[in-house]
Amino acid sequence: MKETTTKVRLVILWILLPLILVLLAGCGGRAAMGWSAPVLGEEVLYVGSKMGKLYALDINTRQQVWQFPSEGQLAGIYSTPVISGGVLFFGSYEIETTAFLMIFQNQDIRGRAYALDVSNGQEKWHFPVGSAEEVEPFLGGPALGQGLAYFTSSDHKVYALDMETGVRRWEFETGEEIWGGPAWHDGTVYVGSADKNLYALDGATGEIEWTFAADGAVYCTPHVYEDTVYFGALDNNVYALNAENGQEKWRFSTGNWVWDRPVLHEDVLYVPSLDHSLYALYASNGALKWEFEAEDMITASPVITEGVVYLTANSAGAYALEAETGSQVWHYPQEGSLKVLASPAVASDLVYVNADDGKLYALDAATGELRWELEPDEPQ
Amino acid sequence: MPGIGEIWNLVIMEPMLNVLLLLYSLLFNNFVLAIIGLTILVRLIGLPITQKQIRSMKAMQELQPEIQKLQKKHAKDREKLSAATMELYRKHGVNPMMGCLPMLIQMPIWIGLYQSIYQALGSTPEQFVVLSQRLYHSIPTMHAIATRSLPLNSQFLWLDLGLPDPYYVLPVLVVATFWLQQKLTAQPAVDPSQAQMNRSMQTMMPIMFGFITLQVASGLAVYWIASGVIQIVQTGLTTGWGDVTQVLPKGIPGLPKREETGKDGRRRKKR
Repeated sequence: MKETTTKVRLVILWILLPLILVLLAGCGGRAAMGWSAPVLGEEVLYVGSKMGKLYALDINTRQQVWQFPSEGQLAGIYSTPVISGGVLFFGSYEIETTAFLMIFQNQDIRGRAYALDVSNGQEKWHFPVGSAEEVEPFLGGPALGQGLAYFTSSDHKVYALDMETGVRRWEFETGEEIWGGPAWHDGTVYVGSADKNLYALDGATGEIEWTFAADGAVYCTPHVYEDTVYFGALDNNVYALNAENGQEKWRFSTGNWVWDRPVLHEDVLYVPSLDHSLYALYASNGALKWEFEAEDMITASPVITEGVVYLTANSAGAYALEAETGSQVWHYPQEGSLKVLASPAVASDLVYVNADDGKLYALDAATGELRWELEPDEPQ
Repeated sequence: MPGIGEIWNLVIMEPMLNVLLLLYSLLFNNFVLAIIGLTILVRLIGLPITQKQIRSMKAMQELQPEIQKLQKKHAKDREKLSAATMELYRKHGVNPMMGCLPMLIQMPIWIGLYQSIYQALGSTPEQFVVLSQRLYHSIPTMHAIATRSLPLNSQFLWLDLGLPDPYYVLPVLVVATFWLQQKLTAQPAVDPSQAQMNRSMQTMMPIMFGFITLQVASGLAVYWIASGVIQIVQTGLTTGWGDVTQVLPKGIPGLPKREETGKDGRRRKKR
């Protein structure tokens, strides 16, 4: 009797082992990731989804205009799309998984920069062409200028691609990965790298104009206005540099990393920090005007329009603040949590929030009340 | 009131993560050395407990002949066998719970160590922004170390420590160290069925962890190997290297041949 029990136990053990192994193999694939801010075109909202799709949604009917790719999906979209001349540019990446016996898996991760016809979502080109060249994921949003689309990649490089054809005009390699996007201003491309440098590159040739060494890695997309470039770093600082020569004008220390782009609006620089605070600084000297403390870290740039600052704060959802004083106008949701890592988009009376739960929320810009929500990845 | 998750992060995971970064900075910005350093540090802190565990295990092994005598004597009465065995343990000051209790106490530490390694590697933006919330920004030295060190250099030889080993060297090493570790730390079987189960577990566990290694960041595999090697060395230093060499298939020339538990649960000399 006892021997029989032992045999049964052993049989169960040896059946469980392959089952667990198969389960483990199944769990090995990477889930779709990414956070992408929605972008508004003419009555159409463009938004990257959690399932690795880029959708064009009619904001009046809430119907899907098109989706890219039309079949299958990308691995993740962090890049906020940029639209110019009827073309939508964004960066992404794909993962091709090959497996032997479902267990010996190999994942081939390939970065892709795309240009799509904004009217129908048809691909105009992608970079790199073919499979001969492999690049790492494009996480930052692109910048446009001089007929070129500038993309940054996790493979440490900045790529300047012809906007019409996607042909590479030049590339520039930094010392570490680049997760933020570039900024173009007046013939110069500004880009931060995890090698702790901010680079100013000639937009036409990719040659270095100057570099500035921050104390920490730079994952932030720079913001350039007139003669000043603003950016944040993992040393908790936000910097203001002379755009011509890289000389430091001022710096301001926050309590944690400055992950996303500071935004300038009417001589005030709005700086999102992972210390949960949004800082409003006087752009001229970096002095603090006001500070607003959200309930969670602020991973995305705010949007400022008509005297109101709209921001998102990780699990704390979205806020509206008075731009002049930093006083809270509304907070959504008032109860519970909503995880949002990307910036909102604002159009007239609605604030669009692309949340981590896979839903797109449209909030009343004046009151923060939910007008509607939809799940782009759900079949309509 | 903070939840269990927050208390866990505050008390276990965050201290380990920050010490890991400190070690990375001290050990030539080498993440493999930092993992090994942290594993040694945690092992040193848990040394009194693990020493008790190893000694208790050794004592139980030494009592094996007497247990077998009791098994013969009370072959048909399990209750009497159980009582007599416990009396024997009591007489020799052996606590059978010492075999697994220290393991249970250490489990949170191992999980914290595992989480801190995974967190420090931060290979996606999602992981990286969460990492920012776990660092001791308010301590100037730690802030300076994190600012200087991040992102960590995850390259070591052919490995990207944030990804699985593409050449399957680490899974093989994990299987080998787990097998040896299992052999050394296995509790002596009280009866044949338990002996059979032990043998099955000794085979299954290394295979399981080997397959897990195929899927997870190789930094974690480095931790498992380092932890296993330290356990083997500690067992060797505590109970003598004879035990270590005896579990190898043919033993080591010049050292006594291994004694192992047969299918009937009895120990016998290997010829």
